[in-house]
Amino acid sequence: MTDSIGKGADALADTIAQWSEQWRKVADMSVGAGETWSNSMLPFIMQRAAEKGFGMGAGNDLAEAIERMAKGPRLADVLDFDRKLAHLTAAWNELQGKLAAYQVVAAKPWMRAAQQFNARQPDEKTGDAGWREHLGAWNQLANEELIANQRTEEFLVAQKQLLQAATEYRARQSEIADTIAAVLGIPTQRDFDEVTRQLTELRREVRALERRVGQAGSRGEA
Amino acid sequence: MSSEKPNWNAAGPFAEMTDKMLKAGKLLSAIKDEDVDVGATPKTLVMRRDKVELFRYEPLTEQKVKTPVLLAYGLIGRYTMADLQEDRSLVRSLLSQGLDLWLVDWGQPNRTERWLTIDDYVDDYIHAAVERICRETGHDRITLLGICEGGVFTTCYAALHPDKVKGLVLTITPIDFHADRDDPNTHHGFLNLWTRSLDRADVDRLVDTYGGLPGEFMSSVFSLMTPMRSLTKYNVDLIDVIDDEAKLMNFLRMEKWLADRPAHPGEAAKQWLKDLYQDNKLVKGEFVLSGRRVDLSKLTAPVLNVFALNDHIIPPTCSRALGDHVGTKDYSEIELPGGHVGLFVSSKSQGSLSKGISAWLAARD
Repeated sequence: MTDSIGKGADALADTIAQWSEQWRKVADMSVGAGETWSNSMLPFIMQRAAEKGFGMGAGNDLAEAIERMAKGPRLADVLDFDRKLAHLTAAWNELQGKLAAYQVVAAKPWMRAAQQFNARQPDEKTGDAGWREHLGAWNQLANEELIANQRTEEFLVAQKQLLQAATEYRARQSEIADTIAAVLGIPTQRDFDEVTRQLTELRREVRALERRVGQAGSRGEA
Repeated sequence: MSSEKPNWNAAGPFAEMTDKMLKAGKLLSAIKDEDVDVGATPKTLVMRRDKVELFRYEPLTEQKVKTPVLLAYGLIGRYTMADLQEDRSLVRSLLSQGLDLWLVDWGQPNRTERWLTIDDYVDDYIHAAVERICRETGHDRITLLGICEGGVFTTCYAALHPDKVKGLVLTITPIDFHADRDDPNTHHGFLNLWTRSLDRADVDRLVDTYGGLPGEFMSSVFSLMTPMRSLTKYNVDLIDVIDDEAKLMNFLRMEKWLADRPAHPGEAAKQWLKDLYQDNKLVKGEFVLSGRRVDLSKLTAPVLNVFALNDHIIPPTCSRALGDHVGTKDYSEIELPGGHVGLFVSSKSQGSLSKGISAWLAARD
């Protein structure tokens, strides 16, 4: 095909041929993308980059400044609310970094599944069957890879760190909400928890007393 | 790498899918929430204690098993799984076989229930329900039927209050929380593995921050266990059932049950995740409720242990372990095909579960 174009071609045909060649190369690259991913340093670099929040999270100058502000010396009530806001921002940065790291780990099985699916022979891919059969075969393969990935130490650690970061962020949010509530004279989450704790303990005491009274009554005691 | 392209005729299926999606949108907008009824088998409220309610189901036939049976579900999800719809209901099946069935419904716990412990659920709520049933029916002992976490509660109750329990039926109940390691199926036991991967401080921090274990959080963990199923549910699966009204309503009832996931009370969640999932205290004989050690060898009432062979949430090995620890010689097992939820809601399992339970109960009535 390239020869025939080369022989009688005008300038436009040459250009089309070059485009075709470029597209073929792109197509080849995409077919081998999974392999490239697995065999290259890309996963490692992506992981490292994700841990650093792709430059947006902890590790850059802004994040470090926020960290310094959050961890600086505490001066009674001076700048207390600003410090809480800084804590919240730092927690958000941390959460974004852990989320990105988790997504890198969670993406790996998709790449492996795509690689395996592409490598299958046509008859293994259910041959001439319709799209539902192909989808079913893909689902089965992807499901196995995803489940296998979930059981790896790498996934469990990434998920744990994401959970820790998300919980920390939520705790910092509550801290801000409690501060605002206190300023406005509204009961805080802590106040509510304290009331429900006392209520629960009071119920236990009342019910224990009821049982003792009931047992004493059934024994005929005065 | 093959360069052959799949022989798909994309236009036909695409047009068909588009039609079905439009149809789905139209149908779903016409179905109201009250049309999707779950837990609809008639029952009467007998007692309320805080948010916990005790119900007695109305009989569907002549009573054949005299001993009352108290159904207790866990705190993750709600009892409506056992009464999803008329033709897929353990509750209805048991009533049809002449049982006097009672239900303890934990209601909708939220942050208010943060401080409740498993001690409260076992020694207060279940105990109060058992005493009330005994008073109402004139029996001095009843049968407990526990599902999943509810099975752990009833097991603890039976071990701590053997004088009140005539029989114990457990379904999909974890007893040895580390026995997932003995299950070779890699699709099973992710919950066990995941919980063990957490630090104890993570559990405390999570519960203290949210005031409980959020229902949506547990839903996301469950979704992880069947990843592709979770991804294809609202497109492929829903489209598949859109032409069949019965299947569509079944799909929607399942969705309604799945969405009805209250927060797990906080201190009870810490016990559940740390004492049981992480430390496996129940089979070690170290689990303490209300100051008393739960000793499984004190399970002297007859025990029926039912589990699902393809249960990815509670691996069958975790349930089966009970047999090595009970004090009774009257211990039986029924292993059924299917999964954790499928055991109760699939059309295939309807009948086999309830018949197995009612036959066992009738033989010991």
